[in-house]
Amino acid sequence: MSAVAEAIQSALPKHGVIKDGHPFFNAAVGGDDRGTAGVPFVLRACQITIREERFALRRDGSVLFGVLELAYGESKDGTAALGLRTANDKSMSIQICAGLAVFVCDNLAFRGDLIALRSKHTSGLNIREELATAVLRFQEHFERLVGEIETLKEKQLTDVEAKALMHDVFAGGSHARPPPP
Amino acid sequence: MPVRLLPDASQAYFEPQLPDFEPRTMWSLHNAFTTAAKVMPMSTRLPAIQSVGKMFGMSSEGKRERT
Repeated sequence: MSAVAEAIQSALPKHGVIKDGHPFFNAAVGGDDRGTAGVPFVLRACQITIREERFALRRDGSVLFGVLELAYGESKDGTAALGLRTANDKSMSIQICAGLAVFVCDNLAFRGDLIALRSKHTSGLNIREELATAVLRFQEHFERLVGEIETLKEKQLTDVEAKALMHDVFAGGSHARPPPP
Repeated sequence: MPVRLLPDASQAYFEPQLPDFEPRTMWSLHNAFTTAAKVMPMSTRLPAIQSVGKMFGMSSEGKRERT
């Protein structure tokens, strides 16, 4: 059993919601019994090593969240991080997003775009193919993220602009406006 | 982001503990939010950070809106 699957298995019993295992969680992140599917397998196939992995279940046990820090795209700022979420209650497809684990402060930055697998809870779903495509898209998104971060570094803010952005973020988007050009 | 984290985010930006985030840039402000978000559980933290990323233009959707 992979470390990812072990993390999930160890987290499950305390929730007590799902009694017979989590086939969809396992398909998404842990792979099958032979470890031949799932995100870790596909990442290995792309020669990407997982440095650290963290998982959490939503309180009702229906949604799994994960962050995989990767030995990929490393720069002075940080290294690539893959955010993942999936549900076993048919409420969402497997979704991943590209992020950066910032070295200096252990912060996580994520792009706003989700990469959703096309099928959810579909019988006959070829999870390996779906995940392989998703990982390729993750790599594209990560490259975009690196460029976007460079743009953010170059954009100086006045204190008034910073306070306005803080307001917009905490206002939850209803009053949100695009960042200054 | 929960409003209760506003003081933490404000302090992280205006009184940074790390020299890397002393420049008053959008990247420093973004890190102020992600620093404040560390206290959130992963199940709400990930969507919150994604939402912040989108507001800072770290998404294809944002780019379409600005063009």
